[in-house]
Amino acid sequence: METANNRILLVEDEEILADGIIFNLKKNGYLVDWVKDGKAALENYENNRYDLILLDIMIPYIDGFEVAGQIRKQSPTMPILMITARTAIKDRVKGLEVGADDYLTKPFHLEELLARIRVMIRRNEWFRKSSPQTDKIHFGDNEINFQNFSCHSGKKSFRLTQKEAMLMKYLFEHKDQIVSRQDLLENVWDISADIETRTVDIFIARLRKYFEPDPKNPIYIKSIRSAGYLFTCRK
Amino acid sequence: MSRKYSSAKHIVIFIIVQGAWLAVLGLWIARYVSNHMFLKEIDQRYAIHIGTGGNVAVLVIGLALITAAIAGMGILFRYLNFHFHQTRLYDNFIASITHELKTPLASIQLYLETLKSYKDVSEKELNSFIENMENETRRLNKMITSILEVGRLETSSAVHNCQIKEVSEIIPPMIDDLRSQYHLSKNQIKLQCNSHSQFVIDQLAVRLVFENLIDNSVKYSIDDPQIEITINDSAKTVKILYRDHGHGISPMQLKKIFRKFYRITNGQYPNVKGTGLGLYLVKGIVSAHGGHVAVCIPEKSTGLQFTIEFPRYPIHRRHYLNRLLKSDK
Repeated sequence: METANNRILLVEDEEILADGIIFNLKKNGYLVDWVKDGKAALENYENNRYDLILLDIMIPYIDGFEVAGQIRKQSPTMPILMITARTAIKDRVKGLEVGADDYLTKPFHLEELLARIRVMIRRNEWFRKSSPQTDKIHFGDNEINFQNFSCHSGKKSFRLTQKEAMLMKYLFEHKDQIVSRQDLLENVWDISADIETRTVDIFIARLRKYFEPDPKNPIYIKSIRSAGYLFTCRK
Repeated sequence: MSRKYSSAKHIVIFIIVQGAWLAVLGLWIARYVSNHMFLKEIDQRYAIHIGTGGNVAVLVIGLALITAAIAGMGILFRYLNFHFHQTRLYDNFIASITHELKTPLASIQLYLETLKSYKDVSEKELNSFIENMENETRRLNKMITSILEVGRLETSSAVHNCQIKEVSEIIPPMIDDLRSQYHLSKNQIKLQCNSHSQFVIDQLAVRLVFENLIDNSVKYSIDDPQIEITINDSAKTVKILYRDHGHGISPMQLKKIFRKFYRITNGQYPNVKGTGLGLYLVKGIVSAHGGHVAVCIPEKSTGLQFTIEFPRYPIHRRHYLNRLLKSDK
């Protein structure tokens, strides 16, 4: 089974809801650890290896935003799915800004929850299992460390977001090949999500701004008319 | 822009205005003093007598006016502060109520979809799912009832369906029912009913009073809750002493406990969820029955003690009680 041995940390203080989620996750082959508050979540995270964190926001001691932020500092790649009753846009934005990868509001559909978990774990596994020589890459004056997403471009140092790093890694692994927007959507984004191809272009523009000497005339990430993008390490 | 920044903007404007007032006051005093010195010097140099009594009067009136203006600004600031505080409480209420309504709904939906998705659910699991759904339905019902009751309280019809009842026939079965609802034993809720009186009550509303008190005792106890309820007759009232042995609260919090939306945030009770309507409802319902509720921190003990008094029928507040009875016909 695809989900075999995948371990999920469920952080939810509502016992009845947690019971229902645990039942469904176990039925789908996941191993589940359940904690009721933010302190226990961070302790468990320190002492165990997880494939995904399913995190409520309104939890005792340390709220979900803070937990997500602290986990994100330690592991830029850990998939975090926030699950909460808060529906305000500012809460969604805050959740994503502090480090959550996705956000699901209560009440949610079981199928949607399971699909999102599946996709997030699959994407993360792809990212983890990528060849080890791509942990650190160099092209031109640029260096990217995929372990911690830190980058150097000339004298500048900065950090990529997880999505930017995943996109960059995908492009690097397919260097000197044309990759279509559809390829990128399927492999870097969840194709079922509300993502438009324009989103890919926005991310590519960001990467060019980071790494190209002249983003308007790119030499590393080139556009190929009607086909997609071509990444090359050579100038 | 968020409400927090909007509040900060108002406070900054207030401080700037106050600063401007004080600057004007300072300038005015400086000008007055320099004029006074100048006139005094002319008086001394030319031996012309220039009266200064009028200037003193102007100074006093000017100071009084400026003081009044500053006091007015102070009152305005207090009002604004109160308004911001209420808005913050209301925002918290909206966040809490969203959580309290959506979470049980999410659970019920999850269990229903689970049952739809898996045909191999064992009987034990099925029973557990049904019990969970029933619990969440009760929780939703309680929440919706509370919101509706607050609406009724504020339109002066908090109690309805009032009837004359024997205290000993109503309260003990009500407490039994709540014991089973909260899975508490007879040792955890001890009831001593010594009353032989009648009172005029809306049973559902009074049940809500006890439900809210017990709910708080359960939520604010770290260990198993210990509740004692003693009912006695006084000359004119039926007096109910409700006492729990939780960690209690500070005297400052005690003053605000019956306020609408007021919630106690304390590191000792990190898991307490609610809307801040419970005790507001308790007070409103008891008052609508012509009764009175008070709370204190018992000496040499932890927890809280509520004293609830309902008028005895037909001894006390007879006209009021008759009106309650008539209003339901």
